[in-house]
Amino acid sequence: MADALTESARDFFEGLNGRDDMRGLLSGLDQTIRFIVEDGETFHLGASGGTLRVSKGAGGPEVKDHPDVTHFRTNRETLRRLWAGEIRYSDAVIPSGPDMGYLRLVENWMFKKGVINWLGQVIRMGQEGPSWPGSRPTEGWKG
Amino acid sequence: MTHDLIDDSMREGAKNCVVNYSGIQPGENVLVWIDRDEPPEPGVTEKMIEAAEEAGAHVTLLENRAPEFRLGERMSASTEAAIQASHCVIQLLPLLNVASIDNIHILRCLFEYEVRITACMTPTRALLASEWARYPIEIARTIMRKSAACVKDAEFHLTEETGTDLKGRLKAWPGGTGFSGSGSLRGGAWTFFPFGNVALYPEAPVNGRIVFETWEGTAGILKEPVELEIRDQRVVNCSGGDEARWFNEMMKRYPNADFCCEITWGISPIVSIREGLKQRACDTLLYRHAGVYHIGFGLWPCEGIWSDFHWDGGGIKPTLVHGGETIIDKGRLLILEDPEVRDAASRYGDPDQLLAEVP
Repeated sequence: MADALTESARDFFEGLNGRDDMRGLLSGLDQTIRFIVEDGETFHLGASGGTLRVSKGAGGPEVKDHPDVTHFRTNRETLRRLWAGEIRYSDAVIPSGPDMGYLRLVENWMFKKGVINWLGQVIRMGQEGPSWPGSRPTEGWKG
Repeated sequence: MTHDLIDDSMREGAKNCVVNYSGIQPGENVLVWIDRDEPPEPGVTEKMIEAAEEAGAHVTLLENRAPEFRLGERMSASTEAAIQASHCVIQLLPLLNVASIDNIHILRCLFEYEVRITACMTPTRALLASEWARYPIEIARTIMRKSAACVKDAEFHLTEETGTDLKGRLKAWPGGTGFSGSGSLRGGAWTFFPFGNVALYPEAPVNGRIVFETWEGTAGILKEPVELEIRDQRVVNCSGGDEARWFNEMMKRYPNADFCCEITWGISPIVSIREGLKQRACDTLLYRHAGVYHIGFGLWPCEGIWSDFHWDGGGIKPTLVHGGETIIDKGRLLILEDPEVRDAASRYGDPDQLLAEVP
């Protein structure tokens, strides 16, 4: 049985599956993203066959520097604030201050920039709802 | 070259940018971004817009005072809204302000919106009409792919007669995947036009000495080199002339400006090193020339260390050994002699000519 964090991640990500723009974002993508939650349980987000799926645990053996598996280290509060739209994904990935959240790419690997971009677009889509991407300017955006 | 020939060459360069580098598709929204204070030379913007419209795109021209990307300046909310609403942005900004990827606010757009950015180094008629801008994409892609394949999970050792002696590690690039880090022309991709370079994050431990003979913002060879001591990926000492004094000031002003975040080498034989040395914007023509290296400090897109600062210095005749193989031998990029690269070039003419380094 999945814990509350995995359930909230499932609600956030899998709720996007019906959208046309999400299908475009997922086209041709086969990627697993593991969220290593320092104060909670690890879960993973799989993008395959044009669909997002969230599952409990790591979802496979430990692999490092794999093109199709990406790891982010994070905590429960950052994820809660991301799902709620209280913080920006980019602030959590490259924090400019102590209250920006913590979503750190484990693989400090230039190759993973494409995954950073992709995950950010998915999260932004989840935060903004149907108005993404051509919606409002974001200076001072608070979600 | 006659006026008509230049016009035709500019058109060809613009088409190369739009079709091969930006991947613009019919129906896409394309934003062409120019600087109000320092616009491209007459005809350059028009040729780019024509090429994008011929590709079936809806083109919007944005003319404003662009932020200084390297010093963390923020674009206006309306600029960000225009970027957000676009599938592709074609930047035609001044050469000193090409590297928008070094700006945290542009990174935000790439991280969060489905937008691609092509950063053009062709603000003049001559550059847009140049052989560099019109270089066959198949040769460029083969050089890029083979160069990426040289990168392994292994130590690198960069040396130069100037006194540079730097060691660190690099991470391999998975074979067969995209070179720019985005895998393809998906949203979030950021691309220089014309090509090219191998830009990498150096893995800790990064230690040694760097003696830069060139420096972004200063044209030509420096009167006094910038000498840096690097320990644990940070600058612990910086000495030299005006440029070094300025960099010391920046390291006091900007958090993480001392962080050694980038090692890059140029892979384009066709861009002139002599022309590059005339530019204050070293990180355009000069640092794209095959075998020229540069090292960056401050913000880098992946490693999670924030800075409002990014700056580069470089050298022209380095030797780079990586994973037991020599990649650059005293400024000569050895991949240019690779049979696959020569084979790709031979489909367009004499490989000796097409792969000869333009001095």
